Amino acid sequence: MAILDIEGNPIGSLSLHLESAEVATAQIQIRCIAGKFLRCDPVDDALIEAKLSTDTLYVNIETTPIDLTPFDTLNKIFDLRFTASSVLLRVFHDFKVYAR
Amino acid sequence: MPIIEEFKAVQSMAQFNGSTSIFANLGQHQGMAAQIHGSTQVTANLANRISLSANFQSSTTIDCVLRKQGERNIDLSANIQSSTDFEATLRAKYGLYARFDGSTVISPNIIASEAEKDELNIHLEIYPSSSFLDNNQVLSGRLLINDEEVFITGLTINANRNQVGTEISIDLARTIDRALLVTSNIFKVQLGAAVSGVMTWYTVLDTGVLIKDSYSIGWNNNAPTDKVVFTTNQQLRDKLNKAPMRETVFYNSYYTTLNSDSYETVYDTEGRAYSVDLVPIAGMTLYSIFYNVFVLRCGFTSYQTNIEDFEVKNCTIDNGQRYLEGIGGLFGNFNPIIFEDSGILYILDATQLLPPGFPAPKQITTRRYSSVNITKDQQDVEGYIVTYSGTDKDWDFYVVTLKESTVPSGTFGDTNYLTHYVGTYTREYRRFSQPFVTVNSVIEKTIKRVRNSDDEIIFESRETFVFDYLGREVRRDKYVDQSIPWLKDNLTGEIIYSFQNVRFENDISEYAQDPYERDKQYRKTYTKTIRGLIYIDNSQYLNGQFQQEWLIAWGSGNLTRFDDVNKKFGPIWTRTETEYPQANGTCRLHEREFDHVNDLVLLDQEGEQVGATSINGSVPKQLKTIVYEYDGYVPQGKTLLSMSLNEIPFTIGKALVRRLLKSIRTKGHDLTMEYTGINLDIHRGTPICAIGRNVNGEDEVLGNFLVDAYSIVAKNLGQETQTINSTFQGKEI
Repeated sequence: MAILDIEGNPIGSLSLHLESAEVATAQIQIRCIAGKFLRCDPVDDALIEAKLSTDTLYVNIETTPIDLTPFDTLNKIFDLRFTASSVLLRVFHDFKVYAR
Repeated sequence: MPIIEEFKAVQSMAQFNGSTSIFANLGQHQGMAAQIHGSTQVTANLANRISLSANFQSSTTIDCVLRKQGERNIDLSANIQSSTDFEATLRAKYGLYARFDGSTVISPNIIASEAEKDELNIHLEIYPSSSFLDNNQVLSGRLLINDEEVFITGLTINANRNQVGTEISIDLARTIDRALLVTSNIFKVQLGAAVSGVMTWYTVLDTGVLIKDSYSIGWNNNAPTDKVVFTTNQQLRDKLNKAPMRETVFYNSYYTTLNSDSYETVYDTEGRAYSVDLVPIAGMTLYSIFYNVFVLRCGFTSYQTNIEDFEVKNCTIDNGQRYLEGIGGLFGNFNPIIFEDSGILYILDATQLLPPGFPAPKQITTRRYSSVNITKDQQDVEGYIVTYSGTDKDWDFYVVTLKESTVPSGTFGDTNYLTHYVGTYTREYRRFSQPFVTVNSVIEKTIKRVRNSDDEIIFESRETFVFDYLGREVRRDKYVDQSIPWLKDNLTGEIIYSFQNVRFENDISEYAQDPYERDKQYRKTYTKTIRGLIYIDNSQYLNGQFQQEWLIAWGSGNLTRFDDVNKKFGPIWTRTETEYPQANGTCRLHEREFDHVNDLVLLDQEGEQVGATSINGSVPKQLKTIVYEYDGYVPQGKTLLSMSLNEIPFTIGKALVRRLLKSIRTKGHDLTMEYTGINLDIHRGTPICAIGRNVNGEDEVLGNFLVDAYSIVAKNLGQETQTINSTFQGKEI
């Protein structure tokens, strides 16, 4: 199981800066293993969603993990969508996206 | 019958022997040793966190996956033997050693160099929109001491490079207010902008403390120029300035148990004692040190970081040394950007590039800035010499040499003529770096053979030693065959000699992980067994059956009967030693000896032995390697920089070095932007995209930068000529 960027390099951490109410999308690649799920920690002030890049509907992976079993052994590209809430003061949140 | 077992335990040793097929699934957190033998098929999935050693043997197929979980992995070793073919996938995050022996086909697939990351740390920052304030609006700055406004004429905010926290120098409007400059007062600094006549204040420093003040008296143009300037900073620095009064050692109690007796107690001139503060943390990682230091000892509410977590064995902070400096060596290679917000300490990895596929930073157009300066020092660097902690054997490979000698005795042609042959197979351990130098040598096999004048073998001993993957002796077998008196010819009364196996010696050593020093192993059991030919005689003077080892009976003249029931091959003597390591470094040793011939317990005792029983399973050492920017890079003979990873696992360190190398090659610009006004979006750690001139309708992208320093200067506050100007600096990412 591995989380990679779209060029295939392993990625472990990054910083993301969003303006209030901004929506940003990103792409990651996952080397899938049966029995594993794409999910993330609950995050305040933001909605974290994901979908297989070929799908159309995003899923809230804070509450609904995506089962990676159908893609066992395959490298698949997933779209991540970050939707920031409206904030009046600058806020920071650290969270993790898992593929396990 | 297949054997199906599953273990999930703190520490276990598993052994599977199956005559048909074995499916094994082992998962646990600390130590595990597995031995899996199947005569047809072995399917094993071993997952472990710290140490894992596995031994697979199968006559047909082996399908095994050895996998280490998390970043706390240390060693993974496998010994796989198959007489036909097998496929093995071994994955380790740190150390991997595998040995494959097969008589037909072996297809090993070893992946040890790259850690598979199944989690992604994201530091998310959300800021309010439209925070750019310029002097077209009415800007101002103010100081509040204990929430009461004090008039000022100017302020300078400095968040300097390679410095934690922010310093603010303030000019007081009235010199009389210098009475307020005491360390017990709390300072708050705000910048404001009037929109439609309504002033909105933005706090740039809350709960600041006084660190310096100056008062000067002067005259100019027949008027006094008395001035009071003071400097305040965030309490962040106060918290980060904290230091332990006692030498403090955080240590990973999975690996070792420290004793305060080993440390010196320091006394001050008043006679107060400062003994060491030992803090055991089971499974200690960078994050647990952050929590213990920044939250429990420095007073932050919590900490947040996007530096990857990794296991740490030991971290020592001297008394009087700042905590931040004491632990800085663990994560300094990440060039962390450290700041506080609402009591939370943020430690951001400044080496992280923006991964492809992620949104670019917010664009900052130069048209709103008074000056933009981009510089770059060209560095002709192609790699890093990386020093890291690892475990290693002191050898890479071995060769087996054979030395033979044949020595005659007696007179050739006479019946007393004998030839004595000795053949010794020696295993010579060597390093790749010096392949012809023997680091160490051990005897692997010895053959001794004696022939008589008719060239018949009358004595032969074969002694073989078996070693594990670390070169430790795990087994010794010695067979002794000899021509001995065997039967008596009933007609002539002559003793007939026969070449028989008379003795078999067998030593077995088993090793286990030391429960107190997890990166060491100790010899758990040692068993020496002697089996041999035994002489049985009921006709002796002793009551009951007389038994004696055949060789001894022969030598002592006790051989009187030669029939089918007067001999047997069986156990003669056994000695077992079992070690029980103790927390204080000693061990309890249980010794037992049993005389099977006479059915006697010769020894059964247990005692404490002084001194560590542990032996190194592998040798912890500093390893060195060269890391280039990408796999397949061809060295050009350019400059190599150096980096010591200390306790950072190599896999994390390698990725870090590659990020730095890529940055040196493709990035590395320094950005300085000056502008009139305040941009409240920009602070340390903000990534920005700098936009240059508009050429032919296209904005030129100057690059992405990570802001690591800024300053704001406000002058002539309260006067018509008041201005506020800002500067920020960034490094290209």
